[in-house]
Amino acid sequence: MILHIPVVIPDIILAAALVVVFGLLRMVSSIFEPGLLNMIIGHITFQIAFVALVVRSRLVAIGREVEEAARDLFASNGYILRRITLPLLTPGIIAGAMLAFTLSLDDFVISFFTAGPESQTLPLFIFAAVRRGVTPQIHALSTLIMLITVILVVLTERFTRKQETYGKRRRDDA
Amino acid sequence: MSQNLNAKIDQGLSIQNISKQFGDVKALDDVSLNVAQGEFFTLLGPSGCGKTTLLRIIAGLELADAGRIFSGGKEITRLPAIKRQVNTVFQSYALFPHLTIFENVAFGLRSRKFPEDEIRKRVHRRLEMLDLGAMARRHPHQLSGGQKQRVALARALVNEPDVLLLDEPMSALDARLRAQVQEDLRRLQRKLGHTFILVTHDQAEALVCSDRIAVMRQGQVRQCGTPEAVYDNPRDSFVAKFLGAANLIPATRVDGGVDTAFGFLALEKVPPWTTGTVAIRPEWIGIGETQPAVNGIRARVSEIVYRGTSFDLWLEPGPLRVRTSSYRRIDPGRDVWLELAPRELVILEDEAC
Repeated sequence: MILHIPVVIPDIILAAALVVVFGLLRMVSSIFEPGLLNMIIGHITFQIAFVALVVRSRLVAIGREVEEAARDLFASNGYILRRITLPLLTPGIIAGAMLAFTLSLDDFVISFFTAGPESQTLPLFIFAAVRRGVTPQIHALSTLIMLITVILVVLTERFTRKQETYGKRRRDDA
Repeated sequence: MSQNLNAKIDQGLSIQNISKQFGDVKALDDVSLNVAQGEFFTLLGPSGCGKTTLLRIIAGLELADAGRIFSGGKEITRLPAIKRQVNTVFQSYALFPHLTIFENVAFGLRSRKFPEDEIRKRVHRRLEMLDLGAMARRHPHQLSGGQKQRVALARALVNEPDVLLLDEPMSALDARLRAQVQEDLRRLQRKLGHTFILVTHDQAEALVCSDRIAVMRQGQVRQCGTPEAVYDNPRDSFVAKFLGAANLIPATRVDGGVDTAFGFLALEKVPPWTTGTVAIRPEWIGIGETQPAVNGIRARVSEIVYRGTSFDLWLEPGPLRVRTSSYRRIDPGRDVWLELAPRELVILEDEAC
């Protein structure tokens, strides 16, 4: 449940909340000054939800019986994880990672709220540059970002579809 | 019971007073069974009767709330699945989709760290035996249903388990293949001499495969015995109806027999109740033109169902079902004499049906 919150909550609210939390944490340690670390923590906070959703749907598709079968065949928990669960989960993990990368690359709001003077992301750089006027450099960059995002989304889609057909196949067996 | 069989039961599997509860539902209620070593034993019952739960407890995938299990004289009640010499063929087969057939079958040996050449030898022997030699390099999704089922069987058997558990392994196969696989399974079990425990809701499967059958209902074993014994002498109306077809006749005890809706019926034994039920299998009812000496009923054929090897006749008064061989067609509307011979009438235990 809690994991789903970052998916539905507007970015701006999450970002504001992060600023408040980092403000409190700064009283404990100065490493929570706005900067790269804060930005990383912020990005992870909202991406965990997306990755967890993707990986969990894969986990559900694998089902409990395969794991039980492995246990029945004398496999220890570590061995099951290594030889059964992780290999079967890999497509889900990769899809999740690609999704996270795309979201991270595109994110402006959370980056903007948590970035320090030294740190910068591509969207932040573009935002700052555009205020000074649109240069050919910006056009080129935007095109590149668009391309990378589209490619990643298509790849993610492909992985997700693969796992769906696998899920269907399993249901046919049953 | 012979000395020999007793010894085999000692080496086999003994289930004593097992109970298991899921929430408010009593999945198993004080179940006790003995399965002899090398026996083909079947747990038969409708869905939800607890047969799969019992299987999972034997496999060690579920722990019993109460009761004990012994295998070969040693207690295994609390032993985890990975320490039990018991392997399972799952209903959905649960093959590992990312591994080849060879690696699937080798899995149990690899997790116990058998040497590589031993694994190779054993796996190939099983694959050959189950006619899967050419499939070794394929993946599960490239196989047909019947092949997957054999892979699941090979994967369990390669470990040479003391007991092989089969959880409705044929439910995903089509009817024709199922009949074939039932016979193959029976032959395989005879050849290997392992103990097989089969869970099924298919009575034909139970009759074909088993040395002994336990009919289960609502977490209890209603009757246990050889297929012939259970079929010929069902204990109550549930067993009578679940294993084969039966005419159940409500009856009241009178001198020398029972009084029923069809009039007086003579019995060989005295029923233990005053009102209860007697049963007769459709194929045990005699049918003829002349009045039989005892237990004759005059009836009219109301419906006729062709079954290939037999006809099922529905008769009034009744309804009574009679099975006759297929060369004796009797058209609806005809009046006939039925003979419910005293030795064919089974006195059921239940008070009323």
